[in-house]
Amino acid sequence: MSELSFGRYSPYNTVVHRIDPRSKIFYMILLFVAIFLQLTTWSTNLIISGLILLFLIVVMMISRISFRSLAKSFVSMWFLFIFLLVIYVLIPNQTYVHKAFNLGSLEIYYDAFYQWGYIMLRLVMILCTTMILTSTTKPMDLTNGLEWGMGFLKPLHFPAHEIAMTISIALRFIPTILDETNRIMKAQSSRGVDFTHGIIKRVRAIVSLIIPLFVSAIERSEELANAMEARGYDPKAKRTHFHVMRFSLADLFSLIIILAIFGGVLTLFIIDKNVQTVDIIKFLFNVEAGF
Amino acid sequence: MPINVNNLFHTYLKKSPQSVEALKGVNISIDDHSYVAFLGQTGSGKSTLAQHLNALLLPDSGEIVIDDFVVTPKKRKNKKIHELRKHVGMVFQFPEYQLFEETVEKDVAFGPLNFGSSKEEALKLAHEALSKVGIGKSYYQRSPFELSGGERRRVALAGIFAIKPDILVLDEPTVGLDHQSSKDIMDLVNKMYLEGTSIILITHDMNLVNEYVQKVFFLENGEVKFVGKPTELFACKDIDIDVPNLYRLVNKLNENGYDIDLNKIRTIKDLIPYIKEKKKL
Repeated sequence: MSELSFGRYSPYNTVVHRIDPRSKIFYMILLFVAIFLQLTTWSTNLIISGLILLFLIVVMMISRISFRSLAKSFVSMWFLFIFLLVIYVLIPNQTYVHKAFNLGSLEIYYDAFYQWGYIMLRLVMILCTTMILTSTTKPMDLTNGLEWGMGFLKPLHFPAHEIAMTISIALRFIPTILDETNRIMKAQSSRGVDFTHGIIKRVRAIVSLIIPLFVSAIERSEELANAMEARGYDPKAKRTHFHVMRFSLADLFSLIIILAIFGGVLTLFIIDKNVQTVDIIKFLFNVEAGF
Repeated sequence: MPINVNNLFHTYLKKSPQSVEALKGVNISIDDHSYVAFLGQTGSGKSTLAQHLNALLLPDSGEIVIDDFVVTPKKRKNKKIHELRKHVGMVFQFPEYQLFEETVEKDVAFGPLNFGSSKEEALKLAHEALSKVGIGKSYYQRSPFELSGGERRRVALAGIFAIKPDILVLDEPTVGLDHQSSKDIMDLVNKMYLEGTSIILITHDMNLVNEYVQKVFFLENGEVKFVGKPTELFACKDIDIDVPNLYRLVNKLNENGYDIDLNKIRTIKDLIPYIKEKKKL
């Protein structure tokens, strides 16, 4: 029953929910690569990012993810945003060319704002992508997918199962620990701790939250380890899965869409680097964009 | 401090598929200096209701009036929450998980310090509360994490007692304790009651209800289904609860020629004079 619900699995039954977790992990990697490929002209970069963002928003709408919880997580990141802005604007960079104005003896460039905006945009896209993955996939499915993905390393004695198990336990405990956090916050609030006002007060309040949280988390992990051992858990044992994952029609369609996006961006990137500078604005309207 | 809850609604995780309507129009009133209990199955909304009493949860609609404090749905209007929390103390299930300071003494003094006591005052209140719960001087400088489970819970309780609330809300305070420790804690709570604190007890243990409580509120699916004396609740056929053995015994005795006022029998000791008298005849 926590307010902190970013990326928590939401049990709807949409097309996105039905896609095989393995595919979804694969798509996430492809999208990350597409997001981070940077071309030469800034207008083209922004157009490509904008299109990917639009695609992500459509997917989020299809999978019925609440935009409110996304917005909330941005609001909580305001400090990072401001911090990056200050870093980008104030630290001089040789490659900046478009001067905006002087701030005392400092020269402020438009490029800095562009760089900052672009980074923010990519951050937003990454958050959206991860959010889509985690809110449409059960944590268990996610780790099963990961284990499958790491399967090819098993002959090299890579502990794929152990890692997957560790991750799944960690994921499994996120909601539990959030609930616990909520409970301890309430208990400490009853003792007069103020979690909402003033930075110094809040930092002090956090101490009264973190210590009990660690104590109970450690106790819980000990209990869990004992319970697993009592039921004969052996990480080396051969095991089968209760739900067998299958490649379905939804996977096929989504694969085509994602490959189209990824392929498009990659092609543009290769042309940009090896053949000639790609400038969509110039290509479409035959005008020189920007400054 | 009298408490009035008017038409209280609360829904968890609104607008999400997991949303739960926890309270659906609850109206209750609790007199000054009374010992009441919120009963009901798990998920009936009794803890949710209790957490509204010191504004840990804010209502979706409706209001809670405690003395001159009013808890409303609007966050901005609730300016005196901090002050309200000084008056309404809340003990959660497994309160020992809220301990965090290096020493027992500091942990108990933490609450009073937050509510504006000076260091000396807070320590004095802490020592008072600790002696009330039977934690001796030799424990003051020890870490709360090296104590036993029962001792930790008593320290945690002292942490609330030290605030000196006018209303004490206890959410299953005896869960997971052995018989003697539970009894110790309930005796403490009773002592608080006798000293003038209102007690609101959330529990599944009908023996406790029978022994201490004056008035019960039985909740079901977020609505108050029954209000009255514990003995009236036990007599109610359409409410599914575990009737305490003592109540059954007295009932059986009454069926067999005794004339015992059910409301006066709280512990087994209360029964002795009746039986002695019957023997004389």
